[in-house]
Amino acid sequence: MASPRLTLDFLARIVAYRQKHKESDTFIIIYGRRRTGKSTLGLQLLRRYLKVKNKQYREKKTTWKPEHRWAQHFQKYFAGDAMDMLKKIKSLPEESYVFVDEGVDVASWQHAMETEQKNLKELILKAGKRKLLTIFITPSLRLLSKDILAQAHYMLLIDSEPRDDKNVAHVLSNYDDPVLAENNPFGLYPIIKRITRAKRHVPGMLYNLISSSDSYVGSLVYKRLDTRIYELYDALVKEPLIYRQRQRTKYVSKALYDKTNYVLNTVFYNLYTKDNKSLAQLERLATDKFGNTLLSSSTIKRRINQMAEATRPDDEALSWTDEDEAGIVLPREYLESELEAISDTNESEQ
Amino acid sequence: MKRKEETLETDDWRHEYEKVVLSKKYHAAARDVALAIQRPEKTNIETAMASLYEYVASLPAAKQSTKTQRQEILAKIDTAYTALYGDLRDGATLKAIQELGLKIGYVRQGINKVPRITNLARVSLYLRDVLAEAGDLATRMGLRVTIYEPPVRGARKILEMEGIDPEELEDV
Repeated sequence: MASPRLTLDFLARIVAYRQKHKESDTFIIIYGRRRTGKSTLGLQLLRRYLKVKNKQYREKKTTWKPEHRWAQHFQKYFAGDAMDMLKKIKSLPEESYVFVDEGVDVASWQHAMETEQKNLKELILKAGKRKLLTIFITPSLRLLSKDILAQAHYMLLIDSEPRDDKNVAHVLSNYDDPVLAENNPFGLYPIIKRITRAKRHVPGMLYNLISSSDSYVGSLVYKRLDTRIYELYDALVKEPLIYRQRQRTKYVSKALYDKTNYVLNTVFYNLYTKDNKSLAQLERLATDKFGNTLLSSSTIKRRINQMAEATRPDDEALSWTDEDEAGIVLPREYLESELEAISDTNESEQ
Repeated sequence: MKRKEETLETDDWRHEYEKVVLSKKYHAAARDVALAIQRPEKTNIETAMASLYEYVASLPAAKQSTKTQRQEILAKIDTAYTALYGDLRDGATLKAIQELGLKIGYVRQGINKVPRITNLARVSLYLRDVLAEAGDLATRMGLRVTIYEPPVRGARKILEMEGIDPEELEDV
């Protein structure tokens, strides 16, 4: 028998083989710049995978029957981020798949990045139990920590823009050795170091380094899909994602709001009590360049009074974290009164 | 300062490139010299000499010491050339023949007796020594690489890594 060629069909078969014979999931990362066809590559791989699964279902080798329509797939198995996917994953059957198209630029948003990584770890854990194929598309490797990269099985890397509706993806496989996979997943870190050290663009440098790396498997060519699929994909997956992103950037967290408020009140309090500024002076400070009064003197007075009445909060209450959004920080007076009540009852019992 | 760093980076790549090119040339020269030893004929020796000359002439000579060493090796090839093609009435040719340990016999051509080198195998062995010397010089300059067995790539790599028989994959 002739040796098989490295194609998307071959990769889809490998995924199905891993599910059937190894009872294992497959985590594939697709990495590349914007508009290089990452989603197309993911969808093309998915098409092959669905073909294999349909055949398996006909031969009664699997219990999962893939849906016929793309719209059903987009609604059920696709998500814009790991958090969104975690909501959907409960309803997914075994040996199906998860498709996360991380189009959001959360890399610049430190705390969102941490949350994203936590969600992603949870997602990988759940996908592993259900023997799912996880296709994770990312425009930034910074979004993925070493732990996450270490858990990925394959990486499809796109280093060029498409030409004539075609593009090439390089396939990298992760190391079997857990230590190596954890410290240098896909052998990428020396490559990144080498490229950043060059400080300028050397044509073909990325490909040269990748192809000489021992994690390099080969390169494969993929084509564009039907335009209607893209339109549907944009409407059902991308646009809700952009909407959520807009919502995310529009609002600040309550923790951040409380912190800013506390800082502003402290400034007013210090100016009033320590620097002996009058309320009229403080009101002038809170007037913008167009002459609008942002805070009236009565409001400022109220804020100063609040600060004067406030007792020293706990150290924990001062260090705001994202978790505080969900949790309630009890006031110190409440705790003290509770403690006094307990000690009173103890004394009376004695 | 930045310019210097960039130059270093470029030189680094050039060095890597030279390594590969020179290794290929070394292998070509080694193959031709081996052929000349196997069949010590004039044509084979000529080919071996040409390959060897190409290899030595390609060795970069950035330092004066390297340049001198390269010149010495080239001079040795020149000696072999002179011994083969030089005029026997010339003193330099006779000296070269003596250095290589060649013997001259006479072949009859009509009424004339033409001088011929009878032990051409000595030239092949001499070229072998020159090749080894050039190889040593390249190694000292860090320009010799060991060519490894080509790594397994493509679908075969995944099959080997996952421990899958290709026929099993058909039944998935």
